[in-house]
Amino acid sequence: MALVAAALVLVAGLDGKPGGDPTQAFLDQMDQAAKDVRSEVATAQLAVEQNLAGRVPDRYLGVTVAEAERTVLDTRSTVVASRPPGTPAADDRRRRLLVLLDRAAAEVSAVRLAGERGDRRALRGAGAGLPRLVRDLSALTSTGTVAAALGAAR
Amino acid sequence: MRRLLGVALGVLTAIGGFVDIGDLVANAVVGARFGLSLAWATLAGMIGICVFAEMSGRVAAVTGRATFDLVRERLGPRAGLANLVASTLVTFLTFIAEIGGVALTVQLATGVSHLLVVPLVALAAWLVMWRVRFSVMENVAGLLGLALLVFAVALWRAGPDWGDLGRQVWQPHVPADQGTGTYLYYAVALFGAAMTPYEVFFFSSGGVEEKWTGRDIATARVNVFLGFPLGGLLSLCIAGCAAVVLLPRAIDVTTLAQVGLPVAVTVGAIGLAVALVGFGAATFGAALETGLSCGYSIAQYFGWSWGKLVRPRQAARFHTVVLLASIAAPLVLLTGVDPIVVTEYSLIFSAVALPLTYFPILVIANDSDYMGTKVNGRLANLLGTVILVLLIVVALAAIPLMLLTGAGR
Amino acid sequence: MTGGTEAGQASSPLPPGRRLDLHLQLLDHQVVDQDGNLLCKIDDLELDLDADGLPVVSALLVGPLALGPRLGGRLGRWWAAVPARLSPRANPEPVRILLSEVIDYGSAVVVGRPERHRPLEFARTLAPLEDWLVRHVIGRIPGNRHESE
Repeated sequence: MALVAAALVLVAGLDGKPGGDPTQAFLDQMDQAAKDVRSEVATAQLAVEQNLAGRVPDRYLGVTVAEAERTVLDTRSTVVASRPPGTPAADDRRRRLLVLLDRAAAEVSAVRLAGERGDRRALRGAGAGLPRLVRDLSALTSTGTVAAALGAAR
Repeated sequence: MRRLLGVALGVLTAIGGFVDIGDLVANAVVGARFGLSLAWATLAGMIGICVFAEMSGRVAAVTGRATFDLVRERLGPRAGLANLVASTLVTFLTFIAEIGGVALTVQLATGVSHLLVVPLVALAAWLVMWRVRFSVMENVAGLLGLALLVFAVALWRAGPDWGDLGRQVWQPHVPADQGTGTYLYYAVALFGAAMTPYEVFFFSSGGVEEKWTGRDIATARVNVFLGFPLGGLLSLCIAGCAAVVLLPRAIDVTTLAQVGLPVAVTVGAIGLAVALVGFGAATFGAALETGLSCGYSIAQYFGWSWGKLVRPRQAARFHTVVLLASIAAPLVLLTGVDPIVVTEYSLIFSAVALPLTYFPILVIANDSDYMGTKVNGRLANLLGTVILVLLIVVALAAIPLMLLTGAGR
Repeated sequence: MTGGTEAGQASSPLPPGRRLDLHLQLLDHQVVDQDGNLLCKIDDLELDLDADGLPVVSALLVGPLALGPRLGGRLGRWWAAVPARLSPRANPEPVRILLSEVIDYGSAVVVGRPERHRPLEFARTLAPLEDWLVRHVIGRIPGNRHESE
């Protein structure tokens, strides 16, 4: 038992976040939500690209995009239901994130529908907006370096 | 010549059988977040499983008896029971994760919801465990599992900066945007994945089923020292593919679909199809192994008859345990829990159970009453002890890290 | 270890007075039948006092009622209490293997009742759960009579 406590203390020292400031905690939460949704949108984008290039079968695309859509919707619900601590910074971040999450939900749904209908033109169109969505979500996260990497991606 | 073919088969089966849903998920998640900077954890875990699998295989060959059978005899019923409970619970959790993995693979291939597939997968797994010959089961799953080599092909074709990848492996550090706690949490998960307890139970019980003798020790060693490291390299290829394709796109791995995408990108549709075969074979094979291991561990502690070489009528308690596991596992999955989440928890609890699992093996392999002249040499003891100390650290850190990082957020 | 009140010595294949280290050679060891089938483990030993007042093993004890006391503590009490509650008998006792039923001592203990029962039936008396499962569960699933070979 003493060993477990020692291990806990050791590990607690490692992450070193102050943890006491509610605004920072909320911003971290929004940051994580933005990253999660960015990952899902980027996944959908990659899957659509590869499907249009004939490398991913339609069923695989369907499952991938459906799972991405579900995560986006779940994250959006969580952010909608969240209670910001009342500082302007927190409220502003939440508002801007919700705008992007609404866009993400709409665009990923459109991709899913186009995929289900087998409509390649609609799929191409729906997929075209995803890269910009990823960039916009990146701007809301703490790591802006992804934008540069995306610029170099295929 | 026949002997050579037999050895080759054993090695190939070991490579194909090394990876299960835990390795797939852990390595892909880690590759997409940390690149190859956690490769040391995969490699260390691989060395650990090699050392201890060789020990438990040698024990089975020399004594003709399997791990749990001997653990109770050597360490007493209380220690044996603690070992049994921890290991069996973790193995059952792993069994659930593997069934989930098969269902997810079928979903990716057919589009059918994985929840509908889960009961069929459990039924199929149970039927194979009930009727199919042990060697057939192992060889088919192992050879089909070699399809996962497509990840090595995919990594090659991705044309990554090998120098950069190499630096990540040999000069590991925590990436700038990730926390140290999360880094260590995933190191623990990788240990749990590489050294999941069922691997040694199954290896030693399989040795008893196949009636290994002293003469089989050499073959078992070739399987372990050639097959497992190549399987470990395969795990690194899965991480590498995620690192090269997913990491630059800021894609975090949360689904099995994402694990396969890098193969599609660099090898194409055929590659993805091969990867799906590999997923299915690896997870189904592991489902068989974990299901049987639930039965092996309990039956061996209580001295019941077990195994596929006796008629089911003569091993009723063993088969009942396997049957109950095969019914309970799909029920858990049908609650709608995400199989990937189950997998991640199974890895952490594996990590917690590791010292309890492996310490008795070290003890028995050193006991000359059982092993005669084939006790551990100094190298085996040195490696075994070092690894065991590492496992104790890993086990103690696992739960605190999980709580602190919110299971890796 | 439980003390036995059984009077009279059962005959044993061991030369009289042979000493066994109980922990190393009997307790928690495997019990097999004459065909080599695994039956159970020796969960406890029943001791008796011989003519000189020295303890001798009078029977091998098997089953949860025997193992419970050895596990000790609350766990051990519960371990023995549940099967005792389920037993139809008023004063349930652990399953006993008499020394006369032991044919050989090796790394596993070989038992059998050569005159009266065939090995499989003897196994069933040592493990009533196995017997019940064969009759009500496993025995009803097709394919239970064939090995996977």
